[in-house]
Amino acid sequence: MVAVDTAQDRDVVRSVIEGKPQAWERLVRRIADTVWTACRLLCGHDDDTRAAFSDVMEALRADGFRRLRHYNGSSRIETFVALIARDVLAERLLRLFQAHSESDGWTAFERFFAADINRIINRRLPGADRADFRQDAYQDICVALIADDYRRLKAYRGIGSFTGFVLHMVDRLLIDFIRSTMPLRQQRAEAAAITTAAPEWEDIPSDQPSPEDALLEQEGDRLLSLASEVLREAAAALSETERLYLHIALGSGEPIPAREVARLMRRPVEEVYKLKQRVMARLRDTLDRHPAVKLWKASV
Amino acid sequence: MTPGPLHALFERLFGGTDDAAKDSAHARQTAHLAADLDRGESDALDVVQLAAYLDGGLDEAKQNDLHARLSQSPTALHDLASADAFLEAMAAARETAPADLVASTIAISRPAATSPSSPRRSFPIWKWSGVALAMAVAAIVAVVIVNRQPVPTDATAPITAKTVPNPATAPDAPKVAQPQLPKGTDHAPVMAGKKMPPANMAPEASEETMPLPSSRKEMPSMAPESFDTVPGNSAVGQ
Repeated sequence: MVAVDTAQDRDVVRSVIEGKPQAWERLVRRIADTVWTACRLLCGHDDDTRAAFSDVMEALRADGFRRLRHYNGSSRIETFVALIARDVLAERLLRLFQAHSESDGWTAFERFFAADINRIINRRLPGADRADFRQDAYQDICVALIADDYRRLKAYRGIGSFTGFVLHMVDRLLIDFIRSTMPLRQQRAEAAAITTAAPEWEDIPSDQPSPEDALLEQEGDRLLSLASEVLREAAAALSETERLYLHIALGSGEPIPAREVARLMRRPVEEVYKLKQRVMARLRDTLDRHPAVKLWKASV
Repeated sequence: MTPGPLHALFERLFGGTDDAAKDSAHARQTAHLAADLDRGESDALDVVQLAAYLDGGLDEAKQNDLHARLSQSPTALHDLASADAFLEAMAAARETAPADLVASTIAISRPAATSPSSPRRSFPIWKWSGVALAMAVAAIVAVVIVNRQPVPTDATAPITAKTVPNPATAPDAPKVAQPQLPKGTDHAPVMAGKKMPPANMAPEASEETMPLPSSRKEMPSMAPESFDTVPGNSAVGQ
């Protein structure tokens, strides 16, 4: 349960809803910095931040403090209000696209989502040597989002949160980018390394993979398809918490530290280690008895 | 032959071996597997749940419920990761709100803060509007009652008309002969018992006279039927 005492927060919110004198002022003074910081992070410019601040405060008061009425003390008021501010500003962003104010919308969109898009790209494409690749990925994702008159963004139909919808789409676009671009990148990088070692014209290799490389890549893809099949079957037999671990682990381009999983799952690090061992055991077990793996073994 | 390469692949992907971070294929392989495992389900976490989860305010059962939803919906998982990163960024970049903006938020909001459906209000605005409507209806009814022609209880009492129809107010009415008042009684009140040729019917030169109410026992000009059909007048005709 929540470690902090929220009795005072509940009291402030209850007083506001009951219309007690000075209650609104108390609440505003309590949450103003939180709302301001949230707006600053998501909107950038001073004028936009001020307008966003007023919008969030108005949203808190709307319909007889409808949003505040949901507060039940299960979190700190600052956390609750910060997430409301994020939701209100996402809704504002969505309205810009629905009102066909795409140019304003795109500027606001980038301010709102840039940090998240970069976080997802950094997670999937870690490493100091991939800075250019990450930049290309960012551009590629933005172009895809703008394409066809923002068709992808306008496809949102209100199912799930707009933020979750956009970030899921960004992740899928990034995966497409990685799958389509990475082998070619690797080949070119290898080619560049060879070129540096032997600068003779005759030694510059072709962009096309050698027959041996093509065979290796083909075999690698086959192995990956098989792993995918095994993983799907194993995931179906996992508990929900174990399956969540699997999804978090697959969101990273490098092995994710247990403490980071623990943070996202709100579980102790020791428990995450045990979770990981259980997932690995299940994967090995599925691997050993999977019919597709047996077929593959027979073929090699 | 053992499925060594597959074991090695899973160990590398999930086991966290030392050389995994240096493996350039790792990013591509996890991306591939993540896409294949993604069933594209959408789920929305509400702010109360999300805030409680991130603040550690959920009990184990509720936390497990949320984990179940997160494991099913990549949309929800992305939303959670984004909210977590957002709160972390907020903690690192906390700023003080401009004093003028805080003051104006308090000042502008003060009058409206109690207006929408405050539980302390025992008689809300919509009820006052109902009272006003009821009062208006009552006033109209009172005016109608006051202005209404009372039915005389005394059958012999003259019936007075409050208004005389003014032909001038009906310019489109057909031109017919207007009744002529007797000389010297131009401004005298019109008495119901007095002879008045019916408008639009009597010829202009009609001189027909009616007996004065005092000279007769029966109701004048109102009851074409027998007295018995007029309530309360049965004795009058006898």
